[in-house]
Amino acid sequence: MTFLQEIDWQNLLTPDTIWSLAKVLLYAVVGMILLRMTVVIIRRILKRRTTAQVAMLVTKGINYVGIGLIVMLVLVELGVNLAPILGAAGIVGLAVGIASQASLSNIISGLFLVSEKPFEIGDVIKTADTVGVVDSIDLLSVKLRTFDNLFIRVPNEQLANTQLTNITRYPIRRLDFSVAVPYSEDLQRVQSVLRELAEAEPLCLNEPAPIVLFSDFRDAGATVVLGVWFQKSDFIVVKNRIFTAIVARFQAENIDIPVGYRSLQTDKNADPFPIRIVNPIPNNDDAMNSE
Amino acid sequence: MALTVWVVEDEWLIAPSYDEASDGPAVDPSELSWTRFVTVKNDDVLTQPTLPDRPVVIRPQSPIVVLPGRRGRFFFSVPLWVRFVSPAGGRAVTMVEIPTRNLSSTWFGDMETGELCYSVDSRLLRTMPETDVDEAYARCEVEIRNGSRERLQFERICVHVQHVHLYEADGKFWSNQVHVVFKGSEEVSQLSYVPGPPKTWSVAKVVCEPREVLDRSIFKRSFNLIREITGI
Repeated sequence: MTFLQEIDWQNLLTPDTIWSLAKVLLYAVVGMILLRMTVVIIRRILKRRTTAQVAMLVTKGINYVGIGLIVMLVLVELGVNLAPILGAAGIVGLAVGIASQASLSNIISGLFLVSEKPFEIGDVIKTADTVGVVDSIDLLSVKLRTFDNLFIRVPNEQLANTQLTNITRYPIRRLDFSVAVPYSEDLQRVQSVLRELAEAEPLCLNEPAPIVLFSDFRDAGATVVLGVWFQKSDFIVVKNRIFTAIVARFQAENIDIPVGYRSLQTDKNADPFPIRIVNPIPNNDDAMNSE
Repeated sequence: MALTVWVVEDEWLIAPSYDEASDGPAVDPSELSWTRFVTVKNDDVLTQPTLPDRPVVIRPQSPIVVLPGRRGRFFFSVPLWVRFVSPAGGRAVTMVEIPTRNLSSTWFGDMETGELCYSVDSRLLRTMPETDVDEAYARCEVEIRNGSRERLQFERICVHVQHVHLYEADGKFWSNQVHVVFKGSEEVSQLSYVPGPPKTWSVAKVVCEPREVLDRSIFKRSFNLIREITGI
């Protein structure tokens, strides 16, 4: 005799039981539909009035609470006594809470991140060696998508305790290009050439004006920095255009970019470098004769 | 500027060319960046003059000071844009808008709350000359009244041309007159757009509606705007 044949279907499927099962099904289906509608409405309302991460946290919270209520309703309808379950849940919750301190720390850090709003969904942030777009801010972690399309999960606690750079917080930003020029060049001319090429680029903002700054004395030459302001979305285009414009314009103006150069000069009052040939290089005739 | 347009059956190919030296199709078409627009067959495409889609910033040659209780009228010109409209099926659809001049971008305001604008290479004049203004420019008039007890000094003016109408008469384009009442750097200032064309051009007809209609919170907005207009 199989298991199904052992069941007394006549006593089990009484009208009361069927009605009770129908009510359970009704509670579950209607409850889930109502919960879904509530979440959608609240998400739409919050979308207009608050940030994306607050909307996401609130809707997720409503979702979890709603599912819990529906489960409890179904259990009550099935005749399950909730008192022992809730009591056990309290004890289990305490035990889980002690055992998962790291998770709790992440949750609390997540709340701080949401209230402090150092970044929002869609921002580009840099933390440690990772740069990526914020995809979601969840209870335990922040999900990043890097520019080479990798998925990175950063625990909230780590983000709350380390230095974080929000690259796209402000609508405009500046990009600095460092280039070395030989000391023999007319630095005023270099300055005006750099300023002209920045002003000729339509994506570079007139205001704040481009800056040209001589920053350092190096072996290869004087280091000059060109800083241009632009809209944050134009980063890659501006970077490529200004880089190529610097090279093209310097070539047109016969200004060297001394990469790998080293200029050696003596003091004005010093004697010339003494040169002594230690091993004279044999010419071709000598080499032939020696063979 | 030469604006070249090619039409191929039920497609429109549009590419702007800003080579000042060239006159029309002398530019090599293969070097232009074309955009293809799919419309209905034999559709007429209309062109319409319009004002830029962002505020414009005008920098006077030297700083201007409006003394307390005084008012000043200033004129400047703004390059027009050309809007291509497909009117097929009784529903006009904007295909593309192309500036008649290559405008450079600039930032007005502080780093966080400022806004992206176009920098207009135009002088700020006390009278608008009848000639000497290119046909592809719109003339704009701003009246600034200093209703405060302090000096109003500004080096740049930002005008939100998205909020003004564009009028045309005798082939010349004008915008609404903009009125700004400065009530002090710490006070809310009042900004308004005088309806209709300038008085001297009362026969002018509207050729383009504002891109954005100014909302009711005029005082709140004008507080923001005056900061942007005066740059103080």
